Amino acid sequence: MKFSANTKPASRFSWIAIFKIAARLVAGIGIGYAGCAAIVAFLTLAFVGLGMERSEAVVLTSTIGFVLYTAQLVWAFSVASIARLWAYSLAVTGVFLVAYFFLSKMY
Amino acid sequence: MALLHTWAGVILGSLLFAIFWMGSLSVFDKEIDRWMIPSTRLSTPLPEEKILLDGVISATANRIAKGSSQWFVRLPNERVPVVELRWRDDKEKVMLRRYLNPQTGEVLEHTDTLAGTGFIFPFHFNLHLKWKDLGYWLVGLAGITMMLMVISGVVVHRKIFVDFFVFRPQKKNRRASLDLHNVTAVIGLPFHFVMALSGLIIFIAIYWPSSYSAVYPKAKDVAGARSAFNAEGYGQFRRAKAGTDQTTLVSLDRLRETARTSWDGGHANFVRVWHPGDDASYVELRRSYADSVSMTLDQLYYDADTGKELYNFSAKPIMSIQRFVSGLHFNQFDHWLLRWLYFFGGLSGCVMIASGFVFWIESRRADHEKKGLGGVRIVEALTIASVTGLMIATCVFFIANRLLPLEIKFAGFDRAGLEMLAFYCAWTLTLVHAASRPKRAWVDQCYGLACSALIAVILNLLTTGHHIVFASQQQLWAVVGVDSLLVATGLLSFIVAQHLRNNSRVFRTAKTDLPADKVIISKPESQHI
Repeated sequence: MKFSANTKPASRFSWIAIFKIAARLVAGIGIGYAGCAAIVAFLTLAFVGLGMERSEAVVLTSTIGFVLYTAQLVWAFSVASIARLWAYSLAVTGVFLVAYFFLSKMY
Repeated sequence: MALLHTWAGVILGSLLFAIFWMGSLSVFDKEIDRWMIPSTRLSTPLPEEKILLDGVISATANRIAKGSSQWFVRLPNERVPVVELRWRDDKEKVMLRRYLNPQTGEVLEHTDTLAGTGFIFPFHFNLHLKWKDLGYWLVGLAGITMMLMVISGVVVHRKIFVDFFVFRPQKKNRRASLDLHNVTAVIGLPFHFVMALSGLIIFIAIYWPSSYSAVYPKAKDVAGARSAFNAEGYGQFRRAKAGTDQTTLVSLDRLRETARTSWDGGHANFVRVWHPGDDASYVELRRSYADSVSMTLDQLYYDADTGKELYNFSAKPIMSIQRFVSGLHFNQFDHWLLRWLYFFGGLSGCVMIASGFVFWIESRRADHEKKGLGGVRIVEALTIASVTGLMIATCVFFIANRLLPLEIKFAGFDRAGLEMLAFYCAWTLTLVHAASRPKRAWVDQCYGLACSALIAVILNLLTTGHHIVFASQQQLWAVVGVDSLLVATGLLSFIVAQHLRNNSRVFRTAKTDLPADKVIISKPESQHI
C-alpha cells in the first residue's frame, strides 16, 4: 500500500510524508464524518418520509452511520490516490447535503 | 494498513488502555462500591418481594427529600444489598444519594465517594471530561479506532492461524511481546469488536446529532432535538406541578403488584415519586432487566393520589434491538460466569494493548538510539504511565477512600473530589517518574503497584475490620472479591518486578547483546505482520 513513500519509519523527516498523512487524516476523520453525517440525516428523513416513526428512524440510521464511518475509514487509509480520496469524499458529502436539503424542504 | 495499525495504536493506545482498564473494573463496579462504602456491606439481602416501600422507607424518603422535585429508590439485589435512595437538590441541580437498610429503613452512614459506579464506570465512557461532551467524543474516536485496529490487525496479519499457536516467552523481548499481542488479540477478537461496536451504539444520541436534528425540527437547537428524541425513543412522561398540597401517597407496594401483572411477572426495581407532596404528584416504575440480556425500557406511570395508570411505555422494535446490543455491552444480567469472562476479556484487551506498545518500543529502540531520536523514550514513558501508572492510580484511589476522614473538606474539594484528586495526582506522578527514570521505571512501578495494592487491603482491614477470611464467613462476597483481586494484583506485580529486576539485561539487549546483523529492526512491519 502507498500510505507513505517512506517505508522506514522515522528514518528521515519529510514534509511531503507528513502532508500526505495529514491529508488522509483530514479526509478520513473529518470530511468522512461530515459525509456520513449527511447520509445519516438524509436517510433519517427518507425513512420517516416512508412512514417509519421518528425515533425508530434515528436509531436505525445512527447505527448504520457507525458501519458507514468504519468502512469509510478503512477505505481512506487504503486507497492509493489521495486526490481520489478527497474528490470522492467531497462529492459524496456534497451530494447528500444537497439531497438532504431538498428532502427537508418537502416536509 | 500496517502503518495505520502501528500509528493509530501508538497515538491512541494510552487512551484505549485506560478505557479497557476502567471498563474491565466496571464489570465489578457495584462490588467496588461495597468496598468503598463500608456501611453498605450487608450480608443477607432480602428477596426483593419481601421489601416493603410503604411505611418507613417512603416516610424516610419524603422526609429527606422534602421540597425536592423528585425522589427515587432502587430496590436491593444480590449485588446491592441496600435500598438506594436518590433525590434532586433543585438549588444545586444535583442528585444526592443515601443508602437505607432494607429491613429497618434506617439511613446508613454516608461516605462521600463516587466509588465504582460514580467514578470508574463513567471514566470508561466519558473520561470525566464534561465540557461539550469532549470525553464522549474522545472515547468514540477510540472506539472507532478499535474497530479499525481489529480490521487492520487481521489484514496485516497473514499467518493469523499459525501464529495463534506460537508463543515464545523465552525468546527476546520483542518476539515474545509480539506473540503475546497476537494471542490476546486473536482470542479476544470477537469480544473486542463487539464491545467497540456496541459501545458506540449505546451512545447514538451523542455521536449522530445530524440524525435527530433532521426529524425533530421544532426543537430550538441540537440539545433540544436530542432531548425530544430521548423522550420519544427512551420513554418519558412529565406532568407539571399543580402547586397545591396533597399529602396522601398511594401504596407503592400495591403499584408494584399492579405493575407485575401488567408486565406478566416482570418486576419493578426502580420506583420514583415525582413532585412529592404536590397535587399533581405521580409515580414512575421501571422494569428490572436482571433476567434478560436486553435492557428493557418498560415504564409505567401512575397518579400518586388515585393510583390510576397515566402512561405505559415499552421500546419500539428497532429501539429494542438497540437495547439488546446495549445489554451485551453493559452485562447487567445475573450471570456470574459471564461477568468473570467479561472481566478477563477486558483484561486480555489491556494485555494486548500493552504488549503492542512493548513490541513497538523494542522494535525501534536500537534504531532510535543510533539516530538520536526521542520517540522511543516518549512512547515508553507514556506506556509505563498508562499501564502500571494507571493501575497504581486506581489503587491510590482506593487508598484515599480508606484514609480520608468522613467529614473532610480541603481547598474547595469535598471528600469525593479529594479522592479523584489523589487518583489524578498519582497518575501524573507515575508519568513524571517514568519519564525521569526510563531504565528503572517498569521495575519501580511494578513494586509500587504491589505495595499500593497490598496497602489498600491492609487499610480496609484497619478501617473496617474486614479481611478475606472474615468476609467470606460473613458472606460479604463483594469484599472478598475486591480484596482477593487486590492481593492477586499485588503478588503478581511483585513477581513481575522481581523477574524484571533479575533479568533487566533483557531490556537492554537490543543495543548490546545482539550481533550486528540482527539489529535490523527499523522495519518491523516487513518482518512478518
